[in-house]
Amino acid sequence: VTNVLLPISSTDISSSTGDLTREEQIVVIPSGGSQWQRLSASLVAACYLGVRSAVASPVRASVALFENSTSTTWSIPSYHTVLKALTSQPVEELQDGMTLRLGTALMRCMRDLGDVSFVDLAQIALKGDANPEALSHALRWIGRMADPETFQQRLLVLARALEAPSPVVRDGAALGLVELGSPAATPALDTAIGRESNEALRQDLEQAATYLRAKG
Amino acid sequence: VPLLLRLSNNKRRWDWTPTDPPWLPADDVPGAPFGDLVPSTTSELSMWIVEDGDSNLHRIVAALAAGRKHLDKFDYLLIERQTLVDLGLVIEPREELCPDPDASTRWHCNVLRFSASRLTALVRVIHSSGRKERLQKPQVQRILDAALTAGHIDRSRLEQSLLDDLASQKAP
Repeated sequence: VTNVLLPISSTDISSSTGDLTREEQIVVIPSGGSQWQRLSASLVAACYLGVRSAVASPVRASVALFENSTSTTWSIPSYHTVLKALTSQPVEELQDGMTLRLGTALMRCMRDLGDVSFVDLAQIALKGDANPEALSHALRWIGRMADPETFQQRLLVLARALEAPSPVVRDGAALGLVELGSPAATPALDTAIGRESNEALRQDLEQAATYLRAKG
Repeated sequence: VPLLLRLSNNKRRWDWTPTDPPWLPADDVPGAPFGDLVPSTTSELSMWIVEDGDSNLHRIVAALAAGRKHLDKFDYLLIERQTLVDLGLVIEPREELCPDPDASTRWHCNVLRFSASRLTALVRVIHSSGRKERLQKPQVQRILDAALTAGHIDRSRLEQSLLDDLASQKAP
């Protein structure tokens, strides 16, 4: 991964966290750098370390007051454009294999807005700002995009969406990772399996991980 | 044990427990699973008869997936036939328009006489003892490819977008 701002190495994390579980650990990202750099660092933390992340506040010093690293995109107009794409097909029409309209709107959005749209989609998934069914289908479209140039961004966004509050969205993220078809996603899936409290969903995450592992 | 298959749009609809969602009244069922069991205007549900050993399962999956606009995962429910009979429902073999007419003639059926209480009872039974299964998209693709190769699916009935999907997935 290039252009990623990761201030704490995995060695530093293990040496400084003692007996803390992954759920209790956090990667602290400095507030400097671009929005995309911050998100990338956050996604790498989720993907490769299985640890949550936060952006350090330049004003406040307390860890308890850190912002979530993906909560810094509210002022970006593209956020609303991505939200609009997610509502391009009525929820009652969203059925497996029947979401071409949503997919077309989303692909157009990604093409027009570029990297920032991936940031926004991750943000929307984590904040639960769109209908979970729409997000689930959108994440699958992200996985099936035929665009090698954005592969890394898409992998990271899908891995981050495994932390979404909605089980429907977490499920959609795993389905998207299967569509993406990269064994590189298995560490993120394994971490998601470890923290998943929904037994049925955990089994589906395991199915997805097993599939990707077999591809490797 | 003879089984009936019902397509599920999202098996996450069936994930509830007595404590999740927390707002669910005791001994009640949430509304979500009913989205997978919406009867027709004549109170009937479309289902497929799965033969012993799931021998025709892939044929049924192909028949249903071939009616879509693009490749996707395939969630489905499997229910014991006797369960439906015990609920007072009637299973009537009936052909349905689909890209595999032979499969439809042999294994499609309508389940009749759904009332609100029978529908709720069916939701409870599926939740407690039904199988909630999933095929990932690559598996669905292989099943569809095999059905097309075997001549079970009439290629002319497939949406162009689905054919494009199948072709692009094969590309290196």
